[in-house]
Amino acid sequence: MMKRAMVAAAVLATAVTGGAALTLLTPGQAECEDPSMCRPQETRLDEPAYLRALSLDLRGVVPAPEEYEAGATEQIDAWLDSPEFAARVVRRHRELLWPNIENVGTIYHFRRSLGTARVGASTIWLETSTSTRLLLRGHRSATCLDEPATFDASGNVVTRTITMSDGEEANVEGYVTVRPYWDLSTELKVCALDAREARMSPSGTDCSTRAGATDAGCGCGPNLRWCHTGTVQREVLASFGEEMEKRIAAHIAADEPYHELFTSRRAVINGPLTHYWRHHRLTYNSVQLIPEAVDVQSLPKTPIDDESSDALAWSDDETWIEMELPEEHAGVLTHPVYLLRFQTNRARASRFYDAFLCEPFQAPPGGIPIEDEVAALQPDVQQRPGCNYCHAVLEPAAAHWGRWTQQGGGFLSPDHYPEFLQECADCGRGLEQCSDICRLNYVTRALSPEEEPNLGRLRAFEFLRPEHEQFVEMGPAALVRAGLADGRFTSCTVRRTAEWLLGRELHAEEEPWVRELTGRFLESDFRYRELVRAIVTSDTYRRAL
Amino acid sequence: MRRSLLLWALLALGCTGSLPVDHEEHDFGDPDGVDLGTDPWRSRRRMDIDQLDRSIRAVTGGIGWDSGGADNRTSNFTRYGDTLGVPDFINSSSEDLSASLLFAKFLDDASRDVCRRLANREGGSPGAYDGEPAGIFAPVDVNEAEPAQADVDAALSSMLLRFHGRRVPVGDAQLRPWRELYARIAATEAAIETPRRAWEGVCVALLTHPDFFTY
Repeated sequence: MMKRAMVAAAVLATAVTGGAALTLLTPGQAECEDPSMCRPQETRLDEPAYLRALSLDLRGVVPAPEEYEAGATEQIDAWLDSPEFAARVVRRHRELLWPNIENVGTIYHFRRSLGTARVGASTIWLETSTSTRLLLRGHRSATCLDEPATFDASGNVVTRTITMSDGEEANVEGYVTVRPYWDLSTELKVCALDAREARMSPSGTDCSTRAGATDAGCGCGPNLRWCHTGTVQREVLASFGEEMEKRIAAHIAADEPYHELFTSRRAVINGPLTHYWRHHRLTYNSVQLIPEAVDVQSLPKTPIDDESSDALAWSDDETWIEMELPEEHAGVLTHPVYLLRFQTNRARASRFYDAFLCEPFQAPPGGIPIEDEVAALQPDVQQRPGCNYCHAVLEPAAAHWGRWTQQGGGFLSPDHYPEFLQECADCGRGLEQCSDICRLNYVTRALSPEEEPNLGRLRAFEFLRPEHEQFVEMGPAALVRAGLADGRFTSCTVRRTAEWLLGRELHAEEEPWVRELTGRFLESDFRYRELVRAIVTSDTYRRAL
Repeated sequence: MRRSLLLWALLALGCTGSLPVDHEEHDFGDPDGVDLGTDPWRSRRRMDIDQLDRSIRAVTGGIGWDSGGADNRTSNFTRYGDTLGVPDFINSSSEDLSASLLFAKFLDDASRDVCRRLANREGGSPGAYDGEPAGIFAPVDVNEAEPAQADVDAALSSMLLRFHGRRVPVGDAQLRPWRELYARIAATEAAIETPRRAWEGVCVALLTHPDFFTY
């Protein structure tokens, strides 16, 4: 009997014996006693196999049978122009940018979260936080009653005292019906205290801000606009991620120079994001996107602001409108997703250096010997023994994000946040209470004499050397420009793209090829498509078993 | 019964009498590799999960490994993405592209589900819910108990191009393992009772073959 241990069998056996990377398996592992029955062992892909590899890399799918009739050369242009190619590039950039902020729910205040309660025969909406129930009704478990709310002559909600099951008293109200912003075609029963619409509370709190979450005089506003549900929160966070990917896809579709992805002012916005910027941005918990880096008033309106036909409703989650970002933006590097995924300036710089300059911050094998006593006396990590191995470079690099808030993604404009604020220096010396502006953005603590000169300075300037201070105002786009000027960004883009398409790291002896590809990439004015074309039409790409 | 189809598939493809699950009888370690020379080359690698999902739909004429009804259908490859090594970019940042035991298990599940539905659709089964036949097994009528050998060969040749991107003309010796696969499955009790089961088995063998899920 002919004996051919097919690769399938090899894989199965490999799996049975513990599993291993497929790349370790070559047809040489299989025996082929009758070569006429086996797939030819050629190191250069034949035309159909090459076409299949191209289609999978460029479109993410195997070719249709009829596509094998035409050669690869005839089809590669169309495939590089296709939306499927843009989708593959987007997918590739997920591995570079790590664009997932689903776990950053703290851009919403938990006390403004809406849910339902079963009250009598009805399902009634209310703010579900026990703290809010206690604040509004005097009892952590109290909901409203299953009866229409009543109002006094001044329009205030009338409550009445009831005894709860634990014997404690609560002051409860009835419900009102509301059309919620997330579905204006429906009417919900909402506890009247939660549905209050006044912008300002009796005590003077702006109910559209996070302060409204702790003021008993605040409700969720007209159409519940300042509150959110779990679904709302997930949709907004997902929309931010989708928006970043749409920018990348649009950039590839337009065949623009690759580096402009990091400097472009193009953005798009949909219904959920419009509502977030207009009504939710101020109701954050601990992570905030304010001061806003976009001009909120220039954004599309929502139907609850304006019933004009060009308003973007919450349900318009698939409708994306193009907008232009302010000058300070640096493309995807100042995108909310990048800023919230990497919430410190060091993390932002580190990811950029690793993904786009091919220079990861890594200690050498075996670690760095440190004299602990000397290190303990040096507060500046750029100079502290051991730390300086990375931080001498990382700190100046991180300064490029110095105008963007950490633990958030707000923009600290030079007009409103100067390099030095006397009031922050004074509060740092204990002369007065620190304001939120000082506490969040300025150096207000000095743990050693060396740190005292930094009191009152914007945090990004702390320990920054004079020659690096300009980086704060230049922004992260300057890192891209510097990388273009010295070639690091360009050669890293070539290297990362080749590694993606070859499925392996490049070897030292392939440097001449990298230089050749880099030259072609430059000649094409940094067209990513041309770089990909150069790689997939190379002998190296086609040489595979 | 369904599992026996895969066993038949592997047997007929030329594996030695006992399947490699009895690994003591096989030596898969440190084989003689094909000489790649000194020129740089591309790694043959496993499809990622998106490529796999889309490619299965492409070769079956639209049938994917899905859950749910017509209104809320979702891909199981998406549903089990984290288990299959798709990074979430919070807890993981690179995709596991190894052909691991777990991957083989999920691909096996996917293939059995998809190929059963494909065979039912192509055979015009009253219970089929995946649309109209698309001629995936043409020129064979999958309900025919003993199709002409020429038609079987033509169907296999066409399927090898569709599934694996391999041009194997009718009459080529490379078609022989697949002919034998079909013949041996067709001789099973299940396929004698329901002829399209033989083509279901061929489909499973094609989808679980490395020539499908690697490139």
